[in-house]
Amino acid sequence: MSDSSRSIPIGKLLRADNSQFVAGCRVRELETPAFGSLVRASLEDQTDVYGLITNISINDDGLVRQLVSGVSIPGEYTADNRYNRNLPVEIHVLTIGYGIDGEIHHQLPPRPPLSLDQLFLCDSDEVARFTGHGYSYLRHILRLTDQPVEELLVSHLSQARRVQDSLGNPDWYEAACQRLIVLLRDDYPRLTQVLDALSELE
Amino acid sequence: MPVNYAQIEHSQGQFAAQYAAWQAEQAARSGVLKGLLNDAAANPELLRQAIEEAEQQLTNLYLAKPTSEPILTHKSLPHTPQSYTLVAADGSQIVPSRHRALQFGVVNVGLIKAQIGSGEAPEIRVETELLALDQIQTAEGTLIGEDEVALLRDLAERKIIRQAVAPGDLEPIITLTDGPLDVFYRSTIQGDRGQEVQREVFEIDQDLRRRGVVTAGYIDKPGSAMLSRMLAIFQCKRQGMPLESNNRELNLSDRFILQEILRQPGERSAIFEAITRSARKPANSLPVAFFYLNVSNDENEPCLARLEFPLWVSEVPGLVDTLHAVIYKEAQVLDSHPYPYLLHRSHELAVVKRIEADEIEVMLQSQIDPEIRAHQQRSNKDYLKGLS
Repeated sequence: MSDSSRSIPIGKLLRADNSQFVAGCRVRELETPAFGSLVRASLEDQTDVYGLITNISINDDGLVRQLVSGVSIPGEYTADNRYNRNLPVEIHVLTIGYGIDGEIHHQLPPRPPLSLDQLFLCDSDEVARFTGHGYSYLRHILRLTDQPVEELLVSHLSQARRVQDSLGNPDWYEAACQRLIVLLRDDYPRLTQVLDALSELE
Repeated sequence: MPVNYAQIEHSQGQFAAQYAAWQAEQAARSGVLKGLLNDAAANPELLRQAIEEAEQQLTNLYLAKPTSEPILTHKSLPHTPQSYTLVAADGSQIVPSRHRALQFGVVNVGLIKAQIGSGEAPEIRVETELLALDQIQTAEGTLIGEDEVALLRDLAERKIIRQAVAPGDLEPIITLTDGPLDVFYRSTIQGDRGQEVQREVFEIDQDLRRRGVVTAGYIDKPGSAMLSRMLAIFQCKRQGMPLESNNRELNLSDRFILQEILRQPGERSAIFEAITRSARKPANSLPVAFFYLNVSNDENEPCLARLEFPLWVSEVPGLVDTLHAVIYKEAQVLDSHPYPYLLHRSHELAVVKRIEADEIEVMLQSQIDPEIRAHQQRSNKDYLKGLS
């Protein structure tokens, strides 16, 4: 199990299945998680479930909708709605692997996290450990159909490349791109889109 | 079984006709009252005499009494202070029911305090009070009713407001509760309890006055006919008849009399004193004043609310203007349905849902001796209602 004391808690589990989960957090906690970040949910059975943030959604309710149409809202009331009212921000996570007994696996976990399990933002060491274990987890990302896969890859690979470069592994990013080309070799239009998006990182 | 819509459909035509007739009657009444209002405005001395005589003669009275402002006053929106503190409190309650397995009562009060101009999110607080057994039973041993729990809730609202106001708060400080400021309107309560609460509320009000805090009660879509009663007294005096404020022919909500005078968004009416006379009213109750405020932002659709405040506020220059401006601005936050934002939020914080009441009952039961608990059963009627 990872050392949670060094990680930043960013929310708690609302709902989950084996391949994805959703956590809720308050707006105050929203400063740290970002689209494409590697996160971890730690289960009571010592399993760590890893995932990438694929979406962050802000909920509304009747009062917020009423306020939106208002002409003049004092800043204090905007803050009231953001920080005091019980409308969690939802963080959607794609599961890409798990860790147990110190070993990282890029398969789906045996069981999903449970509601109210805490979600942590992975630090650089964890990003290095998870991404330094091969590239097979990329297939989970490419399986997504209703998400901006290219954007997610750019965000994730940018974070992972930075970490791996800092550890003296400048070839890591190129190898990740090679792996994507292999995985998408039978889907030329999509491969083109992915490579085009990744050109942002060059 | 749903509602028998066929029967409603059968009666709806007749209902519409009755409603139209009632509307016509209200419109005619409104015309008479507006005429009387103009007459009274033209003869303020006679109006003053009529009311003072009524105060002397009548033991039951609930009407408006003009202050120094002419009764046709319509004052436009003053300047809003740059910074101020607004505190709102609202309560919700669980009324003890013999149908529950346990008889218990709860008062839940939500408070929100905003320091406008600070840029900070408002402070929020919820205080939940489980009523003691002797509080939920009358002297005769029966359970107290809805009105008495509401009185305890009103008192709890005032107490939490007093606690919330702190020395460092941005001034001016205004507090807001929903409904009339004087808790005496719950006059159906028997015995000394009502008077005790009245006394406590009076002490709190005195304390807040010493600290310069303006307390206000906001009445949305007001239905009271205090101006009508004032005009009924005026008419009696003018005609040389015995003074009587309850004239069914002249009974109409004040807002229908004033809505043509307060056409412009943000306008307020003259300030009136609320005169209450009753044999059971304690001597040390709070003298209350009020004005009507057009909280609408559309001059074609006036929307009148009544704002009550202690009479002393009307005697301090500038405080009424501050209250006027702050409450209008506050209601504009929810502009398409103008209502003070913080008052809505305090209600949102306080409201107790059925599922929460059930959860409290389970918590309380868990602390009761199983032997005793075995004999505490929910009523069959309540159980069966829960099935549908």
